[in-house]
Amino acid sequence: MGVECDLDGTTAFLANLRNENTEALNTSTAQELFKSAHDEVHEELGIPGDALGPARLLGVADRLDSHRFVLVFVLRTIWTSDQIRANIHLAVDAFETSELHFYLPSALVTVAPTMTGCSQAAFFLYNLQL
Amino acid sequence: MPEDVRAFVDSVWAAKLREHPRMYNALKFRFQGHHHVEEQVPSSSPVKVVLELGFTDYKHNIASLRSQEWTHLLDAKKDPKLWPNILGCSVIVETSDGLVVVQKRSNNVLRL
Repeated sequence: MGVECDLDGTTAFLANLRNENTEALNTSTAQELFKSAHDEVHEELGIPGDALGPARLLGVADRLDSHRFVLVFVLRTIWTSDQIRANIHLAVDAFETSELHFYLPSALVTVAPTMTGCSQAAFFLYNLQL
Repeated sequence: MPEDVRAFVDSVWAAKLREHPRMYNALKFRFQGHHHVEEQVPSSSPVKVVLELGFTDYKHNIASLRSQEWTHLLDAKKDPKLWPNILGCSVIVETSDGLVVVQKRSNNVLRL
């Protein structure tokens, strides 16, 4: 399966087309990947879809020690940090979060080294595009 | 999948189910590679990449999770296709007041 994605996250195209079924599969796969970014935020933070901007794919992180890969997305919400803090308990998967913090983008460099490998990679990619 | 690898995956999964009876298996995307699409586009345009994906499942992933036995088994096979290469999703959220959300994961959540 080959999936071609615009890295601005607004559209998803296809590659390696062999027939119409492959095209349909690739299209739905690309849509699913970008949808998963929105779903993740909605389920874990409780932010509704209409308060989220388009997801932008920054890259793919490869965790060398465990052969695990992570698509790293960034997206903006029209919610403030106070709104998120006040509503996270309503999120379906609120139980997945034990602490919630907010940082200025420029401060992430100092806190990222204390995070898991996947999060470190995600913020590394994020810092590259600041 | 070789029989000994399949048996190992099944045994780890069975043990996990005894520990957590509500767990269930499900399909996950498997990352197999990527390449850039060469196009004559303005430098300001988004870069296009092709992601090569397949399928794996949660059960296969659990079996490979920080397991020395799994690593030894796979090292002997020398076949990278046997690794689940599970594809996850990490999202950085920017708030309207200019901050970035950072969550600490609960102990209730499996750390991949």
